[in-house]
Amino acid sequence: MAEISLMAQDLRLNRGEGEETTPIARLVARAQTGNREAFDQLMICHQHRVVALAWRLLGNREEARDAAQETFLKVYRHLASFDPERDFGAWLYRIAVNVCRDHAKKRNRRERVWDEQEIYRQPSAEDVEQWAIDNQERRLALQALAELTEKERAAIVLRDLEGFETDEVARLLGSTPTTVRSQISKARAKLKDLRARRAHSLDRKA
Amino acid sequence: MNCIHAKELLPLFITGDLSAADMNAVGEHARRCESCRAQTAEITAARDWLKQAANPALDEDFYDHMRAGVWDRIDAEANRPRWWSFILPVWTSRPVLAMAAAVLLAVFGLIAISDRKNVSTRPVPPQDVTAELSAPAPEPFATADQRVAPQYKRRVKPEPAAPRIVVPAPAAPISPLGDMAEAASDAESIEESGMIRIEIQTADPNIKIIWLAPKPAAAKSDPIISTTE
Ligand SMILES: [Zn+2]
Repeated sequence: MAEISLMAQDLRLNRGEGEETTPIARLVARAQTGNREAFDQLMICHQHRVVALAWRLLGNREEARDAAQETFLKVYRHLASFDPERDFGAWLYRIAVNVCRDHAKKRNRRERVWDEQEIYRQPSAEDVEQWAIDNQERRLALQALAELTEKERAAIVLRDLEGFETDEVARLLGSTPTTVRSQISKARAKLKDLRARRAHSLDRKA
Repeated sequence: MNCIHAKELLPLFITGDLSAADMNAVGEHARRCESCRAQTAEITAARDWLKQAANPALDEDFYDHMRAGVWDRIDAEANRPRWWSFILPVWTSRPVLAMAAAVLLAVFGLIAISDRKNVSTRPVPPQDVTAELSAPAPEPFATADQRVAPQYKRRVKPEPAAPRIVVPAPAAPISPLGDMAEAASDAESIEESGMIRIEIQTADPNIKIIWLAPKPAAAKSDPIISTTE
């Protein structure tokens, strides 16, 4: 029963592009009146994206969780003054980006390691092997991101992993498209070299 | 376009992030240059790999905890302002302060006299406010505005001289009421022991009001005031 109603909710939430009020807009309106369930639903709708962004920018799940929490807390605090005509997702995303960048700045002083050693979702018995491979790849991806500068990383994460257009990336980062393009270019070249170096070292081991 | 220049533009070429003229020139060059074609494939592969591998893969527990943490912080914030907005308008008014202080002094003076020999404990009325009559203040306050002056922090230890009624505060710093944020954060540390202690220096340097109250969540257990010498 509960599952069915949840699924129905998901469908409602995913539909509705072009409708006068989208399900998200309705949730926002209800949350603005202080409805906790509505705000919780809003978090559920956006949590994967916010956490993924934070994890990619910060490199570990503790900080990703902190940043996601701070993001939602800020959204909650300013929800009353949010104009329902605006794009809620974009607004939330901009807050998330800023929170992550603040975290990254603070973190630079503490020098947190960019390597995820924690165990993620426990695998079922059949896919232990695939799970181990995924974990290894995940770690390599984080290491690769760690080799970029803060700005290159932000640009590449938003452009290539989050799928924003260059102009949108520039707006989100408070930068210019030209600067962002240069950062993306450097980041892609570095990642290519990194992959090449890794392939080379694997060849030598073999 | 020469090969070196083309290679510089390849990382942006793969997603069309170049001017139309550059896109054409690089495309034209790459059609004839195997090395540039190989490099284009490498850059694209690295990008695809990153997209595929850089995923957190966290379970639902993680997200449930994350949201629970958000609610905890929302509730903590929601409780605090209500608390202060309730106290401030009433207690920052000077006549009210003076009257309250006088009434409390009378009440607790009586209590102190009647309970002189045995240290007693008694439940506190809904508005559990006590006043402390201290020795003449070493730092007289010139104006009413200074009654919440930060120098009050220095007077953490009360003067032992005059008779006084002391609220046994949980080991906690005295919070001046002047800066709400500061007071709130002080109150937060006191809250850990289940109580909130607020001290207000009135315009009269001899009168200090101590407010010891249960924090809203723990309001069921009545606060206890013991009178000592
Ligand atoms: Zn070439």
